[in-house]
Amino acid sequence: MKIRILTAAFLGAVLLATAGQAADTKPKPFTVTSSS
Amino acid sequence: MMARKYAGKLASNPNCVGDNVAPQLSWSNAPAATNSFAIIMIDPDGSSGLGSVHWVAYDIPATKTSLKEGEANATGPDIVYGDNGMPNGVYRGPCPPAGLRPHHYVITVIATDLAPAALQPGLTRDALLAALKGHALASSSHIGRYAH
Repeated sequence: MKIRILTAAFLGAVLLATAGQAADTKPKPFTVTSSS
Repeated sequence: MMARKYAGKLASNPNCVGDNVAPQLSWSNAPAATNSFAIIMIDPDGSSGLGSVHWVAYDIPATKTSLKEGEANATGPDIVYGDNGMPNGVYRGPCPPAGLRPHHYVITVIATDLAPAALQPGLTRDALLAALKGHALASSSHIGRYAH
């Protein structure tokens, strides 16, 4: 049981890290700003 | 609301009560293939809804990522102006009739893959859009509101 919980936690951490990397590589949108 | 200094200034038109200072603009995160930028400013409510073209500029090199306040009031090596009714096509600020609800002034910056010297000066907005067909990579707009 303890091994299953640890495995699930490990897989969850891997999934979160992968999602974070995907978000980091998403290109930032072309943006215009003005002080007017 | 846009500050009054950005509105048009023309002695012969009582609706042009500003200083006609071209606004500061900055843009970022252009696509990697960008070679030049174009800028268009329109007022969709101008001419009683037919629209007014206030500013047409292009051939701005990809290395340039901003215009200082007032920079588009003069010609320069890094900007070519189109036809907006002003001498040399420099920035033409808002001159809406007094007492109306604010008009919306849409400033759109377009990233293009055209070389900075690809287009001739004096293009109308329609001619510029036609020339950019197939060459526009991305765009972003800033909207200012103005009334007096």
